[in-house]
Amino acid sequence: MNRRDFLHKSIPLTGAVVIGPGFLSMQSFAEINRQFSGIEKFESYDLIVNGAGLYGYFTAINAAKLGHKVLIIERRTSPGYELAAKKQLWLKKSGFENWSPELIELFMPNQEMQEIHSSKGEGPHKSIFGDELALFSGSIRKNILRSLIVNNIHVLLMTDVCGIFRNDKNHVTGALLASKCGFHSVNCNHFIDASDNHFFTRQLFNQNNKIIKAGFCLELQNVGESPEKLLQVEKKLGIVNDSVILHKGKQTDHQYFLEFEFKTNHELSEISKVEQKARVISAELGKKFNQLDLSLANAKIEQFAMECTYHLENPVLPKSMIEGYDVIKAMPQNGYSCKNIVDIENEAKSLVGNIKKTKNLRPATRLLIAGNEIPIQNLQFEDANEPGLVIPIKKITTDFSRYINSNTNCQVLVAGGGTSGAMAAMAAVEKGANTIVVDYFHDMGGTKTVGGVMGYYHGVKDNQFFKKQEEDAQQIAYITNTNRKMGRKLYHLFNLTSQGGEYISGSIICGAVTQNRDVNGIVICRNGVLEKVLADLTIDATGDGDVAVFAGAEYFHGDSRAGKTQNYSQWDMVGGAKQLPSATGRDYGVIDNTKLAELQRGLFISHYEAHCYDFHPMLTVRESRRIKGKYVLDFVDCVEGTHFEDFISLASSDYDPHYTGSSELTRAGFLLPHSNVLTVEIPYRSLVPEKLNRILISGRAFSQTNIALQFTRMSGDLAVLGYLTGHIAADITLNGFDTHNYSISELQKEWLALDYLDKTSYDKKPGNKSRDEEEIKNRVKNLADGKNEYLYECIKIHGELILPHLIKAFHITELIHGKLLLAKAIAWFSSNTGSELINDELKSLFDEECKTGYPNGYVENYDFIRGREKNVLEGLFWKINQNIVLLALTGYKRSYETIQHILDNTLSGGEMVERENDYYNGRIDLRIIPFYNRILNLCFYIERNPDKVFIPGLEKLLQDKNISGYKTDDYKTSRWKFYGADLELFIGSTLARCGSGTGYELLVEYLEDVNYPLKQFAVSELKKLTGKDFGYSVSDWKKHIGKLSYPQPEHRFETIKEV
Amino acid sequence: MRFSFLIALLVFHLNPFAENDGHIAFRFLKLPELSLHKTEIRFSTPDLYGKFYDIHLFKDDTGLFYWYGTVQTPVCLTGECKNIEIGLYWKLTGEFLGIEVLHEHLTKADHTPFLSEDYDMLISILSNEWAIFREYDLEDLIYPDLEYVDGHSGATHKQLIGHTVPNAVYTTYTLWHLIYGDIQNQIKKHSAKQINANGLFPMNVLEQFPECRNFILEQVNLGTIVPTVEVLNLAFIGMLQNEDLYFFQEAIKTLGRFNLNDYSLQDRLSLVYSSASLSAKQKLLQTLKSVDELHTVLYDALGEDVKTENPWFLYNLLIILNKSKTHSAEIKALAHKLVDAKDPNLRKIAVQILDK
Repeated sequence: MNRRDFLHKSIPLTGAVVIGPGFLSMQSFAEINRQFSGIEKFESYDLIVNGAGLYGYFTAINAAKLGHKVLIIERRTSPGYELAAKKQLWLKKSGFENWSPELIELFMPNQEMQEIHSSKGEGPHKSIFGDELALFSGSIRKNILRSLIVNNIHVLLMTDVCGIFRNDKNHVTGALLASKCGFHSVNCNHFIDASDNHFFTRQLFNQNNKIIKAGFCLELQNVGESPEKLLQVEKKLGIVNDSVILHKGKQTDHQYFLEFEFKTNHELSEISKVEQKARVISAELGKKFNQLDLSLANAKIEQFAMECTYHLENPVLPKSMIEGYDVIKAMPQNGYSCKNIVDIENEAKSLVGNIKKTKNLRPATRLLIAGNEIPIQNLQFEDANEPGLVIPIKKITTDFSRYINSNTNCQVLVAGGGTSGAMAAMAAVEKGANTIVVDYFHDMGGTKTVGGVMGYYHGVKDNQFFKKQEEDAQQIAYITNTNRKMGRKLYHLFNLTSQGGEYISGSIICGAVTQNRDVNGIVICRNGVLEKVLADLTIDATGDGDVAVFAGAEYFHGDSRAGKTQNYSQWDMVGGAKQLPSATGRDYGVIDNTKLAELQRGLFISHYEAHCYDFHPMLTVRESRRIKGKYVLDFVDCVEGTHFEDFISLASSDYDPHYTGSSELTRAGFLLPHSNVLTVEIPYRSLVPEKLNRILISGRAFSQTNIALQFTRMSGDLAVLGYLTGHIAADITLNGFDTHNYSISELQKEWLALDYLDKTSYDKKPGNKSRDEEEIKNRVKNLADGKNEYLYECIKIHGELILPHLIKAFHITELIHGKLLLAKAIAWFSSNTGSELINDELKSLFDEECKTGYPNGYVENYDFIRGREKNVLEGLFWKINQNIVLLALTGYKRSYETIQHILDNTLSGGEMVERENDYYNGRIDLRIIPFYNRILNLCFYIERNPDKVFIPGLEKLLQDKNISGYKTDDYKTSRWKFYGADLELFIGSTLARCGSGTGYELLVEYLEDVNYPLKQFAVSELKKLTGKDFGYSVSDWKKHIGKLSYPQPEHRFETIKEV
Repeated sequence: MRFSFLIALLVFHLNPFAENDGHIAFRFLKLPELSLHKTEIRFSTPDLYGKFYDIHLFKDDTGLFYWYGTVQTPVCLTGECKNIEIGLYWKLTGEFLGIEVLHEHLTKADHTPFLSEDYDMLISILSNEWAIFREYDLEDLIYPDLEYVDGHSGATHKQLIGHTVPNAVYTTYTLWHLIYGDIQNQIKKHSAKQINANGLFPMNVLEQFPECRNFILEQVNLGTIVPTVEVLNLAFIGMLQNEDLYFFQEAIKTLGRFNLNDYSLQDRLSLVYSSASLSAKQKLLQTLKSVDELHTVLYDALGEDVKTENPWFLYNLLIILNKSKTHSAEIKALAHKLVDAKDPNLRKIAVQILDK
């Protein structure tokens, strides 16, 4: 195929149709994006509803229908908690006949039909089994959220209300919100507490209570024929009435829900213990399945509920003592019926009927939190810096730890019980440290369990601890008749608590307790109550470096060019179905999950796209902040295999950034996605934040560059790293060491004895070969001899060390190919000796490409790139791309003409390329237009060598319908468009750097884009180009750039090479 | 050593299982010197297609036992090849011990028989519990044309090179999954059952086979082996030695499974405690939190450490010491001093001691 044919080949654009059962339409995206469009401007809500359960939902909906402006806040990741989070996925069918069509659609959307495989149900959606109506968790969560959104109710998930603002007339004026992004305030005229069992109100007004009984549900698969509804169980399990109840599920014929209750005697603050008891009983039940009933002989626990139902000693409704503050009515205590749902709807209607639009409330004078009241003047408010978010929140920077009376102490505190944190806690407790782990969920394991990413596709497997933890977790799953994921949750719980560790679950980590540079613990919010957990040493295992940042640590985020991270994903559950109607896991766009709005946007999109049966509650965000530590692990350490005397563990992966990549290394083809499988050592110093004491980082947020992260982020490696970090933390606290001067040499010996530390690495000479003069000379010699693979070997070395050798060799080498290779290596270090050879080769390669077309490799292809011999580029496409970048780095003037020629003859190449299978097609970083990487590289060249001669070529690209129009100001966006928009924006910024008015205009247009990372890049470029700062104000920027005369002077992009 | 060499050695000089008198095309055993005797004990397990086959318990001369079963399995997707009978061996720990191919050689996708280098590769893969097959389902790796490898979740054709017998993905996958996975958990369960029924192996045998010793302690910690006096004795051996750290750690973990209120147990623990490292002492203190009453000997041993300057260590010590019915004058004096300590934990426990 020649170039002309290729460029005009029509490749079907299937990317516009998103996978997943939702088939998201533009309308769906319009719905989702409304909350992030920045369009609405107001100061205060008419009503804030705390808790998006059924009561909260109907209250919010009915208030909105009456014209009230409503915000609903839910601490979980989804609404509908009474049914979905507690897995009470059946309703007594009495009253179903009175359900309105809207109610039926809410709980049983037509979309779910294709996921119902049970043949035994009757009635609508074959969902009635005897006297019960079966429901899907996914349907409830998806539809309640969507219904809230389309009714123009603002929603904040993973956020909890932890305080109430009131004025001097004792009237509510707003709420204090806690989230992983810290504290925010939001104003309202009326507040309704619809939290679970009114926990918030009870504790706010100090109306103490006890949990005397709890209920818990398990989802079972593989249940045999006709089980008894009521099954007797052993007395010693402590289950109420010594019996459990089975409820039929509708996914498959063998799906059931098992419900049981148990007695407790715990304060509300001890809710974690109740949750843990539920899981221990579940495990014991699982062990005994074959004794309970023949039908359970092969049954497996597919899922635990995310949380218990709680029965209080004193169920009397708590009383509010503030005007404009109401509580919802009590909830049914023994399961819901269809009639209950109608009753709840009616009660909600009546409750909101009493809400009056209050205007001109006097301002807040005090903030009431559980156990304290704070004068408003003691609080510091600032702009939330959440551009686009229409919810008028303000950030509060006050140190709330000063106002919290509730303290828990420990030696080692692990903030975050995910992949790494759960292991760190286990290790610390094994070493004898008094250990507490705090997590948002009631189950540990994070990405692996709550996010559902159970596989180990990469990583170092040859580690005794790695093998042991997986074996033990799998054996627990086997013994307890749970699936692998639930077995892993139990593994974490048992290993921690059986050895004296404590798990504080259901907690939002929202602050740090600090004194100067010392981190003394964290602030958490549990069921609306702020608490302090203090420790001798804190391990920040949040994955996002949240605690370190709360404490003031410096950090990196994303790539150095634009701060972009890997995209995020969410995984659906399959349950007993062999497969779902479409792919079970999806990659979405890039979000910045350090922003509250971005977190919401990510959750909204994933809810819309998820399947109806069920989906994991946790977004799996692959990349977030990286805390700057005493040592920053980088590319050279990775590729040269640096040995650190203080190395803790190994990590291994290919380079898989789930992103096209902006670094010089990637643009030059030295580090292409899915290439370069490497094994990397992680040093202790990377876990120590540079400017903080008494804190270590574990998990992906340790100190490393964006490039290094791509090799170290695999879950198996992070589990081992976490475990060994736990040992370190215990050792530090038990012996009174400090984190900055700690030596891990003694522990290394211990790990070697256990085969937890790689002996081969341990025995290596410290450092790497890249500073060895003989090695450098050898690499240069081989390159001069024309060996292609040595180009990569040479560019990995520090420029100041190798450049003189390269230049010297260039001048004495007669071998033409060797000379060219030397020129390329020299160009990498920004010297233009020999650049004419690169330029000549580029012209020749491009001519050849124009004639022969593109056989392979014009877009990323796993098998084409992965496993390339010695990382040598094949095919014309990337060889050309490489030369463009090398010339860009030299600034060689004669290459301008060549680049202009290539630019003039480059278009998109067609629409997004259809890939060969569903997996590739689901990877949004792989579904790109054919010439995506070529255009990126041309921009790379031009922004470093801006010139007006390039303006027409770049503007021509923007005329290509496959390149332009990806900005999303009119809501017309989709996750597929993120990388399209990224390219368009990059062209825009390059144009602007050449002085083109079109470029400036495009940058301003992107300020309205719904994707924060794009918006943020646009504003940073505008600031650099103009020297002005109008924030995200489109009108101010428009006004400013309207006054400028074009072309503006060129503005060269100056940068330090990303390693 | 090349495995093909072992084949010859094994096929002609070793036949531990008398009933396999048919032709053995290939056999590999990690412990070729084993001499095994069949017992009546067996259990049934499903193969990859749900068809049940028996796994039998065999004993060696020391009394250690092993598991062996033969299974008929297809070796190609097209159904053109006859099923092959395979014999599989596991240690009592669930670890893969060996394989034999009965009657006919394994065949590849083109229906040609395995050569010696193919068997070499097969054994190296089957000996790897973390072979690439572990994380992928068959449908992720293979398409009906046998050799097309899908990229789902990242596995690609190039990734498989070196990780599978060439042109025999299906065979390698099938055999690996017959050896690993839930079958190992079943073996562990049945091994634990045998140990519960017949008691531990003699200590000299356990000393010789540390993996069995560790297996016993691991299973006690997982709750599948009953914590008997024999186990306790084993645990104390583990806690009182310092050559095998893993043995030591697993031994300490098992303590929580015993009745720590027992006087003689506490007596023995006092020896362990006195010779333990700081970290191990802390660990023991955590374990002792479940004790209702602390007896004199252990009280005295713990009391030796109250001069520590580490506040958490002291706090943990005092918590356990306070489980004694009475206190020594030294502890009471210390408690008086600690009533005004800066550390709130120490203040609290001091008051509790004095209240007693």
